[in-house]
Amino acid sequence: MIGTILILEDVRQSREWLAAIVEKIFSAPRIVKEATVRGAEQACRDLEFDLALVDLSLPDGDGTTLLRRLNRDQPACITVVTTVMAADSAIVSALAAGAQGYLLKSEPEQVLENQLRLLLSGVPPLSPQIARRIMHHFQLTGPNYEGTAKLTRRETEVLGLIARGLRVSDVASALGLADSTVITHIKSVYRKLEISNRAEAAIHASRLGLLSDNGRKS
Amino acid sequence: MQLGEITLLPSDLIDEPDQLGSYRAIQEFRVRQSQIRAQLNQPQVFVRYAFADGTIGANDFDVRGRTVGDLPWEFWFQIGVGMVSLLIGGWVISLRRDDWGARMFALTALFVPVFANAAAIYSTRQIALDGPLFHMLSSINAFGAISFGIALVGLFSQYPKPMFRPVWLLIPLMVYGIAIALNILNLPPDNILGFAVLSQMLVAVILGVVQWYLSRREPLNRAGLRWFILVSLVGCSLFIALVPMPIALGISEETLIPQSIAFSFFNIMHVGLALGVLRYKVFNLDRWSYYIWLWLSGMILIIVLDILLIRFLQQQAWVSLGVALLIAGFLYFPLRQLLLRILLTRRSASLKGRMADIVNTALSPTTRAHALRWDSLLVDVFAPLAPPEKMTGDVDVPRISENGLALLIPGIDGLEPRRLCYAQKGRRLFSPEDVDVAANMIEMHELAADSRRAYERGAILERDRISRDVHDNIGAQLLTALHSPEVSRKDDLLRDSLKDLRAIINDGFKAEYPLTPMLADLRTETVHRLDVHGVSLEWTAPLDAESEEGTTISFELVNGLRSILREAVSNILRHSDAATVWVIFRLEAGQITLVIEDDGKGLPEQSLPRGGNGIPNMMERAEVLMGSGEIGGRRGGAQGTRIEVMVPTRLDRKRKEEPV
Repeated sequence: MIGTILILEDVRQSREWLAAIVEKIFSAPRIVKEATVRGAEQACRDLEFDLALVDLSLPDGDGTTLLRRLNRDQPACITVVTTVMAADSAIVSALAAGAQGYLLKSEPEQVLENQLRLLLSGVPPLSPQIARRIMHHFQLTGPNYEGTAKLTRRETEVLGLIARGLRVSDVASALGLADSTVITHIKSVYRKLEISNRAEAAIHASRLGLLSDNGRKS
Repeated sequence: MQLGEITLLPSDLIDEPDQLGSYRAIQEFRVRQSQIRAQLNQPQVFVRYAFADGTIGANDFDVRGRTVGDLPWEFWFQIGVGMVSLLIGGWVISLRRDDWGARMFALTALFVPVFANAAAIYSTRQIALDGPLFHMLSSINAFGAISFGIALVGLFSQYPKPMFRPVWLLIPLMVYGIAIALNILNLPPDNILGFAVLSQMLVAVILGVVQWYLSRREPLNRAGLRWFILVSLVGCSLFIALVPMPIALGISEETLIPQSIAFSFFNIMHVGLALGVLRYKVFNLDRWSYYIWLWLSGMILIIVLDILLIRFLQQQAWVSLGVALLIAGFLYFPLRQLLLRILLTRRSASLKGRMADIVNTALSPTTRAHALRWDSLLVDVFAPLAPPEKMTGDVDVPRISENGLALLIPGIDGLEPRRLCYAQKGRRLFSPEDVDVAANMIEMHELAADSRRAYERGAILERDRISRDVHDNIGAQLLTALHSPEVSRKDDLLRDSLKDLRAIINDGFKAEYPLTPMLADLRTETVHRLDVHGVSLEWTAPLDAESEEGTTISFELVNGLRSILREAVSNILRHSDAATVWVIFRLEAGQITLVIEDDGKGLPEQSLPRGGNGIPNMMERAEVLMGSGEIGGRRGGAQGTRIEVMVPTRLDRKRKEEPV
């Protein structure tokens, strides 16, 4: 299923390390390794990817640009942020830009492998720190958006418990829900993050006069 | 009216015989004066006189000599004009003895009493003077007037810049000396006095124009000259326009105002000239000279219009004056207002709209950029002719130097003082307004610079604190990793360092951390580590809800507890083969208790130390945190290990380094 993989990572050792991990998980994938945003963008023009591991701070720019591009041009591609030092806020904006998950390269190899597997099986990763950031994000931007970008009460509850260090299964038993329901809520939070991001972009655009009223409706 | 045998004519009573035109007429006038005087020299004189209604009277009168009390006020006025002029001339020459301009000025002042005093005698005479005496007084008057003109020409040739060496002044002296001689001898057919005075005025005006041109790059001279030309030409022109000119041009039969009063115009001139020659705060007078020009030109316009209208309206003098006032009022005064605005409003520098530039200058990143921006700001505001010069001396407040040619700006914020030359590209002098503008500018700059300095101080403090914290925490961790013999432990320590760095990036170093999120992070971290090895975690943190919210613990405590937990989990994973790990956090009475249990193999019989440096490390950590630790088997005889650490939430010990 996962056949073509893009790894955007400027540190060579980390690049090889990540490549070794994905090779272990998937059978004989085609791996394209790039060290710059420009090189990765070129690769995206030539190839359709199934999975992209994208570092955020790169010598020639921000990986978020590539995430946005992939999200637009290759919506089937699963995009994952791989970072070691990025601030939580940067990770949240990367998620809002369309990344389906994030991995910390400082984690031991097995932890990283586990999380990647989980991610591909449809469980988005959500650490307490990131959950707190996301809550913060919605608190700040909440009143500005339409209902579609607001969190429901249940979603807020799930986020709150994850922020306190509970795992998906812990959250599920605490709320009396099935694990899959909790995962659905988490995915929904991810989606709303993206919507709120788009809504924010649209508001900026209309403020700048880039969108007509018709444009906003469509 | 008849005196003895002689019938008096209107011309016999004229103030100034020069107004009669030809020398022949003047000589006849003097002959008649002698005859009338002869009548008056008798003890008694027979007088016949006619009233306006036609009745005629006749009588003999005793002739009484004149006493001081009989002298009319015009006499004293003219003497006074001469005195004032003499005083000013003396004042100026005493202050600037070596200046040819001042010398010439003093000469003009000296000759005013010569012509004014002579005229005072004959213009207020009692009906008639003896002919030879009259001739002598007229000659003195003419000598004074023409000499005054020579001095005026000399003045404009030497002030503000000498146009040629003073020796060349002998030429006008010669030419007009001849004119004086001709006038005294009454040689030419027509009276040349008026011609001489007019031509001197013309030459003076031409010289004034040349001086004006020469001073185009010297604002100080130009300012002086502006004032100078204003007062001198206006004073002389008013006299000429109101006294000899109307008669000479046939506009009027008599002078527009009596000559005796018109002499006072020379006083206006001298007072003004005195100020100009002394350059007494010329830059302050500068603006006023504009106003006075405009006021005077309004007045002159009214008079000229009036004269012109009198020609058309003949006798109706009041109507013509009214019309003249109306025209001047509706045309001139609005025009003057406009001129004032154009001439005066753009003249002073302004800080309007400069706030951003000033702040930008104060926030310059480097000294070089600061100097460049400051200079360009000064150029923008004051438009000096030359780029700002750096000065070596001390300037504590902005001030005008060289009589307004330069403005000295104090050194700001480590920059040298600046000297600005020639305001507004040399078109004006620096004024007290400029000093105010400069002072305001410096004040605003200081304000902005102060906030920048405060910010920088804060940044330095913060940087010091961060570097100390990095040294104490990350540095210590990396050093431990470096000296650790086991590869896996090295990796763990390096990962911990990375995690701590991430924490720093996200939250910065804080003195205090909220307890709840810290526990959440620790829980997740532990879960991930244990999950990989298939070990399950039972986490209990029965903090009571009240103390939980808002409880903060110090950075050291966060760090210490995290290290202890990490170390314990590492040991469990390495040595115990445990299936479950229990972690319990308790917060009671200012004490945090951390219990870590596992169901693994337990401690070997020979006990400590097991697992490398792990256990001593944990104990040491607890001691550093002013707490205590205990390690042993699980309670109730169950298999496994139990570690219990107790630390106070508040550390009373002081940090090694006090904050700076």
